[in-house]
Amino acid sequence: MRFFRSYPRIAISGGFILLICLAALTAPWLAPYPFDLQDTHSILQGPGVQHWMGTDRLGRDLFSRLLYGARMSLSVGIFTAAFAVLFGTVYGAVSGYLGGKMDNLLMRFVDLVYSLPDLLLIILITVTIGRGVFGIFLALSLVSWVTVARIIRGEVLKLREFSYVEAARAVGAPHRRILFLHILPNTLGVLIVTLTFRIPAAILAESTLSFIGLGIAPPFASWGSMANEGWSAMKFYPHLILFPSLVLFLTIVAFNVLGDSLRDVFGPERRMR
Amino acid sequence: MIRFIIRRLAWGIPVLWLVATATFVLMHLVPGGPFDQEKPLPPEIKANVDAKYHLDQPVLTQYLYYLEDLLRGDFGPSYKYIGRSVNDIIRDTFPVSMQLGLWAVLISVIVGVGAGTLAAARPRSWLDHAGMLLAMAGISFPSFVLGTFLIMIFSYRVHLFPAALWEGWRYGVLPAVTLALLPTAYIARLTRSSMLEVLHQDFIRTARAKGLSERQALLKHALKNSITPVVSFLGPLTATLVTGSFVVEFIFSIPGMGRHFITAVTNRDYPLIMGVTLVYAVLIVAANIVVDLVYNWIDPRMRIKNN
Repeated sequence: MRFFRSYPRIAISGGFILLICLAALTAPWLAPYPFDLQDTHSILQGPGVQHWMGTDRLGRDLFSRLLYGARMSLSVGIFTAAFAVLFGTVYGAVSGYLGGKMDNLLMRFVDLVYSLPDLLLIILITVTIGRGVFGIFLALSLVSWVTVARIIRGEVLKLREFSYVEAARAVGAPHRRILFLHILPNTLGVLIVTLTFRIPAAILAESTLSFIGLGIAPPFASWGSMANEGWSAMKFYPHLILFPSLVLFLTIVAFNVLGDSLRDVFGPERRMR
Repeated sequence: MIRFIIRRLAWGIPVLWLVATATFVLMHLVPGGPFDQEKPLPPEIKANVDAKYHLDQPVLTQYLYYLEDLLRGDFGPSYKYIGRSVNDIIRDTFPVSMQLGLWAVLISVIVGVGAGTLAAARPRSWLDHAGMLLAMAGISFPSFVLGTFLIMIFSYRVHLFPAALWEGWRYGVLPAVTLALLPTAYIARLTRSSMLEVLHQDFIRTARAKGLSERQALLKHALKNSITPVVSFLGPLTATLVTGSFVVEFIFSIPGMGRHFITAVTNRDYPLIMGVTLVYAVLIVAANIVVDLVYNWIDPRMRIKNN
């Protein structure tokens, strides 16, 4: 209760995210219908008592599909962000710690990837490795770590000048020890904030990809692919696109608000990205 | 100054070469050739077709042919649009996307800088809170969701703007607004925080002390100094707009480069994919050079550092 009063924004946004995660985890028990059950007697129904959010053109229950879609959207977001943070941190930390020519070279590559449109790269990679769930996960991961690498490199560049690092060096600590035991733990706040921002970015990228028809393909469903299915019929059956869009929007807002508030808590750094 | 431009150009060329090579490698990693069909061609004809497109040569030779064509500005024939070269398609679609993109840049810079300045002028007022709430919603709103909502409201309910195609300025309003949303929100946040920082500096106090009105201090002294982060965002903005154009041109059925790229991917039209990718790369390299030049021009400190 005290936590809620001191950090209302974190409590509300975090609570919402927890709720969505729980709903995704318990989807098989929570969903009133199997997500692929086609009920030919109730096609394209609006929201009602039997089907809370209505049904799609194959008579599938929209609420159940939304719950299963949450599994896809959230797991893509979380796993991609986790990979991005792990790999990006090591890359950025090594680059910043080494400094000099090596740093220059490593960062040139990051800058190149960073400057190109991410969706363009993701699409090009999925063209090559295939558009399965794994392919999309891999493509998103391969693109999203550069943002993390840039942020962590900046942090390490700053931290390595601190006197406690010099002290560690003076007592003869090896480089690996200095970097991973002395410098990196001090980036933890920044890391958590970065992770929180990478998740909605990945969810957004996946849903956008699925919406334009280059992402998750049937029989799997994510919020983006559901919006795509609803899009062609939106003039007459707006509920098909409204519900997935709304959940998607709320989830992304929740993560962004959480990230913003965490940044205020963890430090005065005013980073926009 | 000229040396500076040449140095930036010299940086752009390896980038373009790298992008060209990477797309070539990616496209050649894909299993199956462009002329594989359900009903295979007779082997003699297949050999002829392969010879025509140098597909019978070793990959390295193909790569050299590819680079040579690129240097001549020739992206080759499309695999799916019969009788049209990739150059033709790009020539037809590029102006449409460019127009849409410029509209979005204009909207986002004007509205974003305006809103950010207003919010920073009265920090913690209701205007600031409302503006930043909107900006938060803006960076979280997937553009396909906004596009759909705009169509539902302005095309289906009030028949104000058409929902699709590209045949006059009325057709551009909804797509431009959709495309501009994310950058507008982003620029508003950027301007606000940079402006707040500048407003705390001594020269603003001096400006106020010498009797300038708050409005003059804000617009004449603060705005000029807080605009630099916005200028450096114009580079990434180009990338953002390219990503956005995929979605917006898809939703509004606009015959631009983004939509053709998506169709090319679905059709596995490799020359078109590679051509469009390269055009994007050139665009981004050019945008970054322009941003550096503008940066140089508005910030004297950069000028000294670079010369």
